Amino acid sequence: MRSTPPPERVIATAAGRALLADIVARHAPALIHQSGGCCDGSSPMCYPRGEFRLGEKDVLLGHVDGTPLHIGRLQFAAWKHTQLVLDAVDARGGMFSLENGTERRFLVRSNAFSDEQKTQLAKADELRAMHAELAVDADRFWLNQARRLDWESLPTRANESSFDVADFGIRWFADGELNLSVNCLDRHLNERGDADAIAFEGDEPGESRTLSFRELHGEVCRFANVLRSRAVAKGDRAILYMPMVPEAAVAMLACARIGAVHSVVFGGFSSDSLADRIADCGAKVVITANEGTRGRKTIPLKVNVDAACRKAGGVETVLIVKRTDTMVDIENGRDLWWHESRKTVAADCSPERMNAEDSLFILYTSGSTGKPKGVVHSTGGYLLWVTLTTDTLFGLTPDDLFWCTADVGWITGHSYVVYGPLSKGVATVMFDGVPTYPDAGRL
Amino acid sequence: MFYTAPTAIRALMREGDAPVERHDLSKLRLLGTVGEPINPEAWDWYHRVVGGGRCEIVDTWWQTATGGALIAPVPSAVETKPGSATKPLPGVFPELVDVEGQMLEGTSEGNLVITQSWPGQMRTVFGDHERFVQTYFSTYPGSYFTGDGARRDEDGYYWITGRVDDVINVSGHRMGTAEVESALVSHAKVAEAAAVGVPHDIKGQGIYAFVTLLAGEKGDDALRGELKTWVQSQIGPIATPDAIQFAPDLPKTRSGKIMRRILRKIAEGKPNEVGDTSTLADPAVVDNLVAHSIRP
Repeated sequence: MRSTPPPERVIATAAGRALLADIVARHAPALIHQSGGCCDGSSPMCYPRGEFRLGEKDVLLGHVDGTPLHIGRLQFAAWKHTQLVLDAVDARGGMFSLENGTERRFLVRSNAFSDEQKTQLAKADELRAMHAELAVDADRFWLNQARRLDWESLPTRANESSFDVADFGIRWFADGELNLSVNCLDRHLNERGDADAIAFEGDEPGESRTLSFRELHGEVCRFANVLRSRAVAKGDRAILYMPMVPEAAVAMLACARIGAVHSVVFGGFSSDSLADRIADCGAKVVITANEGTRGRKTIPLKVNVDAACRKAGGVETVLIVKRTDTMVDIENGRDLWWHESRKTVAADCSPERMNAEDSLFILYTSGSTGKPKGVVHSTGGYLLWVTLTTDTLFGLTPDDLFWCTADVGWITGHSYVVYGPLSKGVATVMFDGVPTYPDAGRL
Repeated sequence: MFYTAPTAIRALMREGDAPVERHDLSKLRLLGTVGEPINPEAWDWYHRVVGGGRCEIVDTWWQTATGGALIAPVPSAVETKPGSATKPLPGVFPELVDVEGQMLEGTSEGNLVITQSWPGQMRTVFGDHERFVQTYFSTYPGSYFTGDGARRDEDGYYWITGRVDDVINVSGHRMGTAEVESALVSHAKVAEAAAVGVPHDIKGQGIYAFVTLLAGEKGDDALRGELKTWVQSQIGPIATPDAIQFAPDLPKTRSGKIMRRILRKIAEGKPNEVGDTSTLADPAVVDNLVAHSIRP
């Protein structure tokens, strides 16, 4: 049931192995090098170590019984879609005279790789190259990787972290400046503006809609402008207490656009848990919906927010997304409906220049004991990591539709529902239901 | 592409193959898992039924504090083994250490630490930097401590065994609760299982297992005996559960993580100490478990 490993680039027949073993025994250790220098150009040369020095351009093909087999880079380019099979034949004028008087030489046969095997080898090569670059110069590797993102100001410094208590600190790309929402939205507008960014699937089958990158960009800008109109600025904390609707992603990205630090609290948590989190981070604004729905059950989000705000204090604005038709109490001067306020603002919004180390979000872990722990993530390092891993692990292409079933209330929802796919310009699914409603075939 | 938690996979498995097979899944290209180590049976089912035997499975290990995946198979490039998150991604440097903090070499089992920073690492605990340093960097100075235990096999693959707090020590034998759970779940009648350690006069700790059966199966003493024998045959006598409680549901957070803290208290017979249950998907589950708890 396992996946098959990438295929070997070089294998040997029994005769090939025997000849190789004989050479290794007599000249040990030996290196085999397919230099293309033999008369017919097809036989790998065998050199006793000492006479043979690997060039920088030689590529390790693989091992046969522990003996490394190399090939010149140009030959590699020609042979890399082919599996080389090292065989041996009796041949007059062969390279090697054996003790019993016969002469032997290597003969290279070849098997073409299938397309699947070629992909495997290309992926394996890519991964090996990444490990190799890291080993040589990690900072250079990371500064190159950083180019996966759009920066206002490219970083020139990579890792300046230390785990030692004496000079403890975690810092990456500390002189770089960027805005996360630009990376998830603006940079895709030219090429993929009309492609789907979010595919929403509601609690009731059939309740679905999509937002293109351009539409999402417009919504995020409007949301950001509403927040700015309420004096929410860079560094202020915003709590989100939301169902899995596109507006949750809109609100997260809007916070990122103006540099506010968001903290998403899962919509299933109680008002007491919510109050603890509002108080811990000193949130100025709470973004919620009037009500959530899950498997035909409703969750009184706004009622919980009201109770939590009373308990925690300090909340100046509550922005409400209309998810259902249920009416809720509105506190004048504090509460604002999103669907009304969005009409009063412009659909563009200049992004705040953020330092790579500026906080992007706080996410409270439910922790088994004690007071909630607000995990703080950075803007630049975090976004690079989710962009890189989304790429490496899921290899998303523009035609893909990515569905990560996590709620945005968890780190998986942040990294692989919202930020990873959108940074890659790939459509992401948001599902606001439960897997078993209306039945277990829902997913 | 579809990325979900093992607990969701097991929940779907419980319903059989039919709900999955009703749908055209031929466009699925890749399947992912996250949240906890996936047991081999669920891996096989996910691969065979959901993935049609065609999609690769990317079993990712990471945490809220790590920002994104750290140990996971790069599709096509890394051969998978069901139940293993395989190898670290480029730029991730894991090590295993023993309780004294000694680095372990080669094939070994111990506590998982990461020795160098990576870009997606959390930066601090909001308003309490000291707590950040204390929580993650004081147990093994100079390393980030994940709180997870892991085994490294002869190929350098990592097998996460669960939270270190979830290690049970039975008569001096340490085992991850995940091993016992994986054995239970591999039984034909079991959908989901959670094992916790409980104080035991002789053994130090005994094993108390909560077992959810497949739809239509009936939990009785005969099945209890059968399951004990089954675990014995899968792992060894030392892993035999001292008590098995059949549970229609387990207390889970809304992200699907089983809240072991609550199960430990129920198993210890201290239901009044279960603490805050407001973050559970369904707090009512706890009352039901308390009402039917058994004394080993």
